[in-house]
Amino acid sequence: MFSWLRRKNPRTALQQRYEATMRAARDIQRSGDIVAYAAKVAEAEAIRRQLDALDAAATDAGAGLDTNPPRG
Amino acid sequence: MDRTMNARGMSVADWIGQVRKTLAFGAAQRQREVQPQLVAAYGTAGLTDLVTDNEVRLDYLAQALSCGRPELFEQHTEWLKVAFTGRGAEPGFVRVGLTALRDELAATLPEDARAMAADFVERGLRAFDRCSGETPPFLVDGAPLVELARRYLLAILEGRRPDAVGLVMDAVEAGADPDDLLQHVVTRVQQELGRMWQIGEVHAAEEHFASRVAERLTTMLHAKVAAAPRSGRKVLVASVGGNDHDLGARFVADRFERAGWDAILLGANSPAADVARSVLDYEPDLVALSTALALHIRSTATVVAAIRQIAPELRVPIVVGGGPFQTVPKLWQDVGADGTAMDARGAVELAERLVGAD
Repeated sequence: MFSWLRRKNPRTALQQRYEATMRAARDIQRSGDIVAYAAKVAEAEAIRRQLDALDAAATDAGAGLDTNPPRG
Repeated sequence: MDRTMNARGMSVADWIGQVRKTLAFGAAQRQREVQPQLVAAYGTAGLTDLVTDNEVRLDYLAQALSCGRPELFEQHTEWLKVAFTGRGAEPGFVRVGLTALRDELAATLPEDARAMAADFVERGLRAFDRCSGETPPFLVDGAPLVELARRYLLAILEGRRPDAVGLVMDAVEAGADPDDLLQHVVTRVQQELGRMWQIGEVHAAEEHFASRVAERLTTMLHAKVAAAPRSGRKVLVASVGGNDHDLGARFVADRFERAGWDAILLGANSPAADVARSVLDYEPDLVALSTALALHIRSTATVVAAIRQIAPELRVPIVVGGGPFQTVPKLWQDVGADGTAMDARGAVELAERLVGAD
């Protein structure tokens, strides 16, 4: 009845999917199937983009350290 | 294939490039196992931010491997230590991350690639440990025109563009050499702003604002200088593919024009094939390539090779310049160029030697 109380945070669920997909990609890469590896990484990256969109919408987005040299 | 680059290192770099995403992810996971609280505190995105940062580390490592130059990766780890220290973050976090990256590389790369990659990361770790975490300012007492540079910097930081421009142009009216002003004021302040960004004292937008002011001043100062009579020599100037900075290339093109050369400036992020094609079209006496970051070394080698391949009969000399060539001796040889110079003035002097001009 109160199952909605137990609903997962959408970001947490997406993060778990992203991590599981990346772990699967790594396992495939180590098996040597580079085509399947590329497809699995693309799948993980699509989830990653959803995560990035969620973070951009969050009020505290960008609170992390920007400690990479300029890329361009 | 860039024949001048390090063949074995290129092979390892290619391996890293193929599995870059999962390498970055695997290293982030390893780091989370060691430092779960720190990874959680890293930012809103936690682990995913760390994956992105690891991808950048791997890109630097791949560039260093490609030319067999561990110094390039050492400089990157030093850069990171300064950035973390300057921003009040814990630099030990980076060290654990680099160790995790080394371990993930060892677990992923084939045996023949593993040793070279591990050696480069180990050297990076040692450089990280040696680094004090500080970087000296560019505006130091006793440097030429340093007081003017400091006032110019202050005007930039306070967003007073007319004042910044006025300070420099007043100095020209008072008899200062425009080339000296470009080198010791405009360029030096750009370098100082880069340092301030690194340690978190300014944000990227402030640096971009300064670049726009510098562009405007470059044009104004160029117009103030009487150019030497045209020599009939021609230089093609370009920022290599991936390099979005074109201020350095503009300085160089303008300096060549003042020395009597015709300068063809292709601008930022010029694809290798287009630069090579332009060599055929314009038949320059010399090509000058601008490379801002170590991330662009392989791209520089690619454009040099493309020019050599498309126009072997022209034997056009190629000069490269920019940060990595200033800090790593003989790196210009690795990319197949004919020389490098520390600044625009030096580039013209080198060019005139290379083409045999008086």
